[in-house]
Amino acid sequence: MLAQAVMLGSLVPAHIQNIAPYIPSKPDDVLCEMFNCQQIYRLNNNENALGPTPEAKAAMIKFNPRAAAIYPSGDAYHLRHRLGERFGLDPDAFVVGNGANEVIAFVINAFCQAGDNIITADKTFAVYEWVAEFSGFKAKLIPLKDYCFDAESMLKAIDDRTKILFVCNPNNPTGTYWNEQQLRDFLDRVAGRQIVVIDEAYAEFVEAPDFPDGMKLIKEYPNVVVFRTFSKMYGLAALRIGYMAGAPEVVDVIRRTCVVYSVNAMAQTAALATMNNTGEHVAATRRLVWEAKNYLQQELTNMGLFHIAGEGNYMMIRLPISDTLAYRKLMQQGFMVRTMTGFRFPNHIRVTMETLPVMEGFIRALKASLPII
Amino acid sequence: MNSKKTVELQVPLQVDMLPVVVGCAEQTAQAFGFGKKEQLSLSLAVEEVFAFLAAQGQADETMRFACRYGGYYIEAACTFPRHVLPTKMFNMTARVVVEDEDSLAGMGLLLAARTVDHFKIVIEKDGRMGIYLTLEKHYPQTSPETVPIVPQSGFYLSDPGKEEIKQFARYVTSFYSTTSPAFCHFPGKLVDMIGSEEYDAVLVKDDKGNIGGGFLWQYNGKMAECYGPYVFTVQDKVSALLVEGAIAKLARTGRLCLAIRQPTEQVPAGYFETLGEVCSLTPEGALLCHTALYRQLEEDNGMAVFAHPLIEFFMRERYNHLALPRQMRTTVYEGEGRLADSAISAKLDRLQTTATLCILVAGDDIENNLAIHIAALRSQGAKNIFFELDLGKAEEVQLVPAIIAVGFQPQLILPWGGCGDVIVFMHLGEESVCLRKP
Repeated sequence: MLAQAVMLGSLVPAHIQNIAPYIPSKPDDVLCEMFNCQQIYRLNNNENALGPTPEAKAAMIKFNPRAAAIYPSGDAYHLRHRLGERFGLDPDAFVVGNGANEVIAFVINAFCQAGDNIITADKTFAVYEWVAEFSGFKAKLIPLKDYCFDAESMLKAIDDRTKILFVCNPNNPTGTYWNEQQLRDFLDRVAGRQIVVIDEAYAEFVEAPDFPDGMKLIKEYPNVVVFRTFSKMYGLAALRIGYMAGAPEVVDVIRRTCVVYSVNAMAQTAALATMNNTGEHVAATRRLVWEAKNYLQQELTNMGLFHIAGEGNYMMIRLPISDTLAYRKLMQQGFMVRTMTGFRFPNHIRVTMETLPVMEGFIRALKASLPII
Repeated sequence: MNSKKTVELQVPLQVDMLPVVVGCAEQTAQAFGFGKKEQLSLSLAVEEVFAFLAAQGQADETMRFACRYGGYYIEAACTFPRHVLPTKMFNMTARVVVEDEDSLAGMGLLLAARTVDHFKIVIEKDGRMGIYLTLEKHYPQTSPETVPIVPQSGFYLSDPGKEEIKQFARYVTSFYSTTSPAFCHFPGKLVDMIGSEEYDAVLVKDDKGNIGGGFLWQYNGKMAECYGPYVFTVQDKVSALLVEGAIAKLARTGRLCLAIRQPTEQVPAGYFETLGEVCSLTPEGALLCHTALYRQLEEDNGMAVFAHPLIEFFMRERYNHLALPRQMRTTVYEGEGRLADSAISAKLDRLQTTATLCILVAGDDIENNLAIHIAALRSQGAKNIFFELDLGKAEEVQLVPAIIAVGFQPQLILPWGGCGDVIVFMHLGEESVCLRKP
């Protein structure tokens, strides 16, 4: 008997029909074969070149394989309590997710219904926009101003169906940030009418003294929700663990849309151990990023390439050729960068800061990829 | 504005259902705002198609009939079991021999093809066959004497309104005369094309609201096929602004790439890669040559493609030029079983006197079949005949010797132009021009 065809046309909602699936990059062995290179240096995902903290490494080594047969804590109980101690907040002020991407979906689903919208920037982390749109909500995208979130235009775009404003601080990919005064001014003008999400995925990389700590604003502004992750500074990207914090009454609403048991036991164990690190890991990572940025900025200036080196462990570079072509040419030499066309910065690439020898190799590959400079 | 509206019927493939289908086509065209002439043209074409199919079908078989309003056109789609239109029979849409009874049976399909603006036969994903008849709305042609104001400063990107689209179309025909796309001569049509959401555009305006330029594209599967950029000022930043605006609009749509087959001289440097030179004849017979341009919107992490030895060098050179990661797998026909009759789909654009062929079914008679199609298309006035072949399908690539033997030459590769990469051949006929290597 012939298999019946699925009538997808009538099953798939219109807003899903118009969305293309995100295709992640292939594994290194496949890429090496495809691009005929020996090794891939992944400078595309802003991972930490130093890896996890020594404490997390030890915890993972000690992890009892028998624990894999047991369901993890469904709401990351111990980790939430530990986060509460660290930030001086109630453990119920936290939701731990399978990476920060998951908590973005929790927040949007908790507050938006048909006809609602969210507001964010046009050139920022794409997941706010994607989650809103595949959930059937409009994403109002406000152009950056001088590579920075434009508070005034975001406030002007608010209407009576706006539920959430997403601010990426510091912004990925430009590295710009709102200082504490700018953020407070913005929150004062929102005046609790909308949820304001402050995505601080790269906060631990920032050394500027005027950079605000969103966690400290939650008590004062109960409409603030802060995102943090263990993927970037703390090197646990493969384990997929991130969290959000907010006023307990707000988090209580968000928790209603959460998928429990989505964070695995190894991730919870490693994240808990990470919190035992007393700061050496952050300091060492910041040193690495500073050295890499310093080197890269000098080289790029010598090459005459415009670049934006803000906060975070990444840098954006404008090229005289298409970024997607540059990607392929760099891949042939074993360097994977992030093309910025998808961030609406055509002909720009974003490069993760790595150790100096890797950065030197990247510069050699970049020079070989570009027309005469 | 999304102007999509669809009327659907499921009818038994029986001759007594003819009035139902024809009536549906005519009344739908009327409801969609088409004039009496277009209503009759569409219903005549549908009548010919259905009469033919009903004569071939069995009592318990059905045809799905859908009339879709695309803003500037109406499309009637007839979908039916594949055996109803035998391979041999539907190739006859390309030629009719009056002495041949079988051939005369196919006369109805030929008539249908000639009654509408676009006619194509496809094999659907579910294995059924589809005949698509498209009739475009008639629009008044723009007045050629319009002289645009030359804007000067303060340029910014803008999503165009209806009147701006019309003004832009008139500017394009005025500034670019013979190289302007045919649809720009019909400003109202361009408004409806963009309204259909099959096309889109960005404009650049100056601080007084004057249009300084524009860039258009058609959504075509994974690709955006672009026109322009059209620039009406000496300000050199305008073209880059247009291209960046288009890329920003396309960036998160899931499209993998954009291509400009006939770019203008104002394309900014550094944004595109060259695909190769395309030469074609206009309906008036003038020769036009352009270097087709391309850029990807997403990171390309490679795929496998099939290569016949006759085009392997060409492919390798093109892929190296584009730094595209492709694993080339050589394939040749070695006598394995395949169908005797091939099937070719011909997409005929009568307005542009251009035909594009592709393989529907690989068969032993491909060379003869192609030769007949070419002769028929030439006799119908086609000045440019292209052949598009999917490099992801080994059975198609094995037909390369026949394709070359009848006078086609590879012209360029459109990465991600179909399911995967598509190689475009052009037929070097008597009226065609000699093509240069990219």
